[in-house]
Amino acid sequence: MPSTRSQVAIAVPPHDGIAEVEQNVIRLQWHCKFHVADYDSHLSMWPWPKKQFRHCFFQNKSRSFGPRERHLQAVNRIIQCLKASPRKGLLFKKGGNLFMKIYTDADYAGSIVDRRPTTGYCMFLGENLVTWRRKKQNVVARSS
Amino acid sequence: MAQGVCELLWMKIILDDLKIKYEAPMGLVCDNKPVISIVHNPVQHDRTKHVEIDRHFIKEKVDNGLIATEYIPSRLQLVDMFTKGLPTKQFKDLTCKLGMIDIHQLEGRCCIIRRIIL
Repeated sequence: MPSTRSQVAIAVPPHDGIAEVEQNVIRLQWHCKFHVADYDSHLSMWPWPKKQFRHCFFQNKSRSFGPRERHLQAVNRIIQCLKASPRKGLLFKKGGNLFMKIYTDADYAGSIVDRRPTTGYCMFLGENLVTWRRKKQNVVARSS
Repeated sequence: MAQGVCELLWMKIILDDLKIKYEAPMGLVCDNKPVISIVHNPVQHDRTKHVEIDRHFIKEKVDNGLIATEYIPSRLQLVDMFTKGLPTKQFKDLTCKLGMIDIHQLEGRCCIIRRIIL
């Protein structure tokens, strides 16, 4: 069974729009939702779409596992997301009120592997986003 | 929710350090109606035993007037993009609402405005 936390690092050429991050290596930690449901189809060969992604390796903190088709899909999806939103940033507007507002949410048993919930919040001071956080909980919730 | 309250209290401390007075209750927005009613309801139910500590913590802050709970429908809930997988359209709308924009485009606009003024 795959672990809940794994890391993937992908080398991307600098002209690809999502580079200049940590010496052309993007480190991503993905959520458990991306994890494999089928344990049969091991990925022995990496069918990368282009030669762009030359180096890829998987790190695992708790248990060893082999990369699978689902992992490739997950990585592709993350890269799509990154490519679709380059040069984005947060705008801090001047003036306005200083009303503090915090949005909280939790998904009940969101992880398909171990049924643990994810909670998150993001905080606005006036109209500006100040802090945000999402964290997978260590406990299994029996109610939302 | 309790974590959110912790964050609010932390931000209040920072504002105090910056000598900014903040008197009004801070808004705590949630798309879960039962949670809000549990926070306000003094009656303990059988099924809410395990949330007792967090509940009392939030309830204390609500009673002190530090925070005010607020309901928001799920489609306007901003944090959904952190916790769930969303359809593309909703995701884009929410990123706009968070204030995420193309900075470089904005710089260009500012330059144009400056040129017009000069």
